[in-house]
Amino acid sequence: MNRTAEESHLLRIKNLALEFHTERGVVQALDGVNLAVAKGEVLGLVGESGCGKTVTGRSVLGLIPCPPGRIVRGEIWLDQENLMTLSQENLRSRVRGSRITLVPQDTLGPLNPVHTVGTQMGDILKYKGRSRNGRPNRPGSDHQEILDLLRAVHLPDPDKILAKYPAELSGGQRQRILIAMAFLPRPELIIADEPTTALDVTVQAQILKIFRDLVARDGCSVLFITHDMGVVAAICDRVSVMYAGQIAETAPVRKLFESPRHPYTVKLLDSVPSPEKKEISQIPGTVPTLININKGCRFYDRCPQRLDRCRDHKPGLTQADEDHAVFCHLFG
Amino acid sequence: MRITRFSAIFLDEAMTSPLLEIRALKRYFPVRSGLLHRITGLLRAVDGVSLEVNAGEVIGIVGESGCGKTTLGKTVQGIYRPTAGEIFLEGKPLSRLPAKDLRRLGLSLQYVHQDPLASFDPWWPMARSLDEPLRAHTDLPWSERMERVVRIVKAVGLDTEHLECFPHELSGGQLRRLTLARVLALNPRVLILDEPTASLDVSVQARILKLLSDLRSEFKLTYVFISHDLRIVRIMCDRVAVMYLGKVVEIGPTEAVLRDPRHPYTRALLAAIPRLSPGEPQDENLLEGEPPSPLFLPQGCRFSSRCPLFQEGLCNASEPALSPIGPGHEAACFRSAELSTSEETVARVGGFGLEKAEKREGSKMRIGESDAS
Amino acid sequence: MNGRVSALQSLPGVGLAKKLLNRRMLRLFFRDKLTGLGTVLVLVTFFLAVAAPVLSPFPEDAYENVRVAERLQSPSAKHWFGTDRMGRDIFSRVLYGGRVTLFIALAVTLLSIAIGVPLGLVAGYYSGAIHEVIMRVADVFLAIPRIILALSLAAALGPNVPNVIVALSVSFWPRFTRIVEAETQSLRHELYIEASQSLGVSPVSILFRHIFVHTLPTIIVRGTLGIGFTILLAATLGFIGVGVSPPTPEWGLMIAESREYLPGTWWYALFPGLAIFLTVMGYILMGDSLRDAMDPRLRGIEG
Ligand SMILES: Nc1ncnc2c1ncn2[C@@H]1O[C@H](COP(=O)(O)OP(=O)(O)OP(=O)(O)O)[C@@H](O)[C@H]1O
Ligand SMILES: Nc1ncnc2c1ncn2[C@@H]1O[C@H](COP(=O)(O)OP(=O)(O)OP(=O)(O)O)[C@@H](O)[C@H]1O
Ligand code: SF4
Ligand SMILES: [Mg+2]
Ligand SMILES: [Mg+2]
Repeated sequence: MNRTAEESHLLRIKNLALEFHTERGVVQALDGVNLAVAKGEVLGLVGESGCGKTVTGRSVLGLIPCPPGRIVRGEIWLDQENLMTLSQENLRSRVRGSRITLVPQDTLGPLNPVHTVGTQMGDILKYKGRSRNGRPNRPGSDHQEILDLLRAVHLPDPDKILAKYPAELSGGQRQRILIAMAFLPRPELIIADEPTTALDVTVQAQILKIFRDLVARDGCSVLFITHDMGVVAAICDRVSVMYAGQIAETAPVRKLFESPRHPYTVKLLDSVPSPEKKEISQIPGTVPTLININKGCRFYDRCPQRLDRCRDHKPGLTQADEDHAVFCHLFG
Repeated sequence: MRITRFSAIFLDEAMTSPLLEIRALKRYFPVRSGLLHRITGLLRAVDGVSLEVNAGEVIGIVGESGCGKTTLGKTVQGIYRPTAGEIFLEGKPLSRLPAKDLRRLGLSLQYVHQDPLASFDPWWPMARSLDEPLRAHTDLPWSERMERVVRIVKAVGLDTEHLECFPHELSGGQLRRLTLARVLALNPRVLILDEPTASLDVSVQARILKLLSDLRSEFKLTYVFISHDLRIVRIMCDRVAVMYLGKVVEIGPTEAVLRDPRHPYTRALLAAIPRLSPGEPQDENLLEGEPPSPLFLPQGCRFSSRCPLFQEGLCNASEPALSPIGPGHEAACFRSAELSTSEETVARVGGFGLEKAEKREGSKMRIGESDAS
Repeated sequence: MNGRVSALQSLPGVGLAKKLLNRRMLRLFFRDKLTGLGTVLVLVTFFLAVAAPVLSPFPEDAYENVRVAERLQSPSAKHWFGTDRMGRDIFSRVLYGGRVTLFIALAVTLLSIAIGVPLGLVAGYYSGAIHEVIMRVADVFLAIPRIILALSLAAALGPNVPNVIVALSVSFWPRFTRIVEAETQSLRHELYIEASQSLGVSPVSILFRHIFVHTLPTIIVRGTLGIGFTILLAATLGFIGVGVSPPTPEWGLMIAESREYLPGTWWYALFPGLAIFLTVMGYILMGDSLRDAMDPRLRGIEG
């Protein structure tokens, strides 16, 4: 990746390492994570439960609880600004909820149960403003904008929905509202943390379509966290596979599915059921706990193609292709 | 290592009557509201389901959330009392059996809960929970019971150390295995598995599915496999029943139903599954909205409010019944015949390119064979 | 066979013990100084009552004894709390009074639990006639204020210790039935109960091995608070004259006797009164803290 290409990326996470100090020991939740999201791109972040997807997303928003969390090293750049140097106050007023928004996994938690949906959506526009200028701020335009968005997320009768309380809506409806709320301030980057995991396939398919349409409309970038390879295929431009707090492989989505390089990616793709498959295979062993993890490759214990040096030496980042990075000794 | 089907093993056991038969089963929940808690409506969670389950087969039940899969499973096991209908096990009607026989026979039909964490007493160590059915049904001394518990726990791929754990100390996959271990202690013949891989990682899911296949041949089990994921159903099941709002709308051999779905809802479910093939145009023939409430069913066909083939005067006039389509294949739709013949309908409802997909699969599956474990 | 598994099984209460003794709960329990005070008061009063025969300087004064020469003396080195109208040592009588009072309170609470809890479990687990009968009977008892019910019963039965225990228990058991029934109702719908049912486990086993164990924390809290209130009630009965009869050294009774000699002989009423106050406060403070520590709605607020 050359210099200019890197500059063109909206979000750049460089060598991020994060620890949690718990009673059981130090959890090395992230170890040298590198990610870059270009303008207008949907980057998928995929991996098994507990591999650090959520904490990566929350790091960008400055939402890691400290203690127990501690960012050991690394940089997070949003355009020309180093987010790690910003104060919480600055993050809250200038970045979170305006330049970067979050679609959380839990659909009931983030909505305030005592206010109607309409009030909560109105508040976003009132307090978070818009990150892009040049849009009219006429009275009434806010309301119109909210209605348009609700229609865009395929909620019938937006006026009625606005008068309802979160608990009166189904999980699918709440997820649509949360997506609408994330797009409302016209952010530059949206972090979507498993926005469809709790939903039925039929609703998931609708939501993914809505997401694609809105991203195309606004031209914003998305960091799309999921554990479902099918969802990745449906929505992402590029994808980073995470394993035990590290990025195992990053590639354009098509390349990753057609010629996966990292042994973990290969095994992961084989264990995913799909309507085309009559059989699936398993990955032997289990995900390691992130306490006292061995210092070599974190996939060593489960890797079918491991080499001797994998045990004690951390693999480096290798460019298998100009846009295909692998974190594995087999390619180093 | 592959997950394969074992039905052939049981062919010699095939009986004339099905092992489990469900006839016109209904389960309604009264809905109360107001100050007086008066019954103001009936929630028709299961609204007339008939199924025959043969010994040794795996029958899948699929459908969206809230379509009544769990209610069906619990009613069949006897946790809920049926509102109407009859359940036969080994040809004997469960509701008319004397209490003693019912107890014995009922035990050979077991239900495995959807939420494994909530199905264990949070204050009991696993050893105690797994011992509970043995303690209730055998006169064995404690040490012999523990020996059996340990044997079963090993059979589901766990260690004795897990027996000392409390439920919250175990992972989702481990809890799944333990729920299976607990019912296996009773030597059941039929297991109703309620979403046995829900909320598990793909890698854990693959191992649980493998375990289920192994257990099935080891303990000669018959599965009623509840799931909302057609991808898993394709891997696990011989036959599949698609449910919508408390009713079976299509049923048949898995391959037949998935290759040639004859109900628009089955097609929509298939179209909604994300494919592992990026770049290919996604199916744009998606269902709109969500299922209506089982409190207020649409007139006529219960799918009519979302159906792309809805025809005024036909579909809202009466409710279509299951009618035969092919061998063992039935669908409840007035226009099911058109679904296979008319190119135009296929285009409107969304095709399901299995043939095309399978060609690709041939090259892909070989990677899995290097699996050493 | 795994040795550790067998060790676990031999301790059936291990789950409960783990829950009761988990660290956060202990921290919550000892959150404030009042808790420490309550616990200390409970332990000290209990110890004093048990050790009364050893600790009291004039054990023979506990019941009937007359020493005319030493009537109504104020506190001194010989009689720390002074003497009463018969010349008996009030310190000794307060210590022995603790024995009587605590015996009554504990007996009443245990008896009420023994009657109330099983009824509550059965009423909560089954719906229909059994539930209705048990709960309507309990409601009748609950509708009458406890003090009035206890008073009339004690008056009818006649003043002695067993009768006081009966009177107080009759007015107390429905409270346990009520709370246990409510808790059983909600536990009954837990998935793990459903799971046991579908495994063919008998209702008796489910009620006692699962549900009863889960209601224990509530029972302990209610029981502890109940001991405090029962002490107060027993003293009230004694004071009014329908409780235990003289010469039993009962605190309420002692205060009643002292009325004729007030305000001159202040020690006569003060020390039994103080004993009642401190003991009742001890149990109530401890019960309150136990509730804070075990109530899941309060748990997790800190730490
Ligand atoms: N507040 C915390 N304290 C201690 N450890 C934490 C904390 N938050 C996260 N972790 C640990 O960090 C690791 C990564 O967690 P994270 O939630 O990011 O996983 P995830 O990939 O989002 O998983 P999931 O798919 O289950 O949401 C886990 O091992 C987790 O135990
Ligand atoms: N005990 C109950 N009382 C009242 N209504 C119930 C009860 N159990 C289920 N229902 C209702 O019956 C309908 C079917 O629920 P059920 O749990 O069987 O669906 P499901 O297909 O298992 O869904 P999921 O995929 O979410 O598990 C739902 O509308 C649900 O709200
Ligand atoms: S009967 Fe009519 S409404 Fe029902 S599924 Fe068939 S075409 Fe659609
Ligand atoms: Mg997460
Ligand atoms: Mg269910």
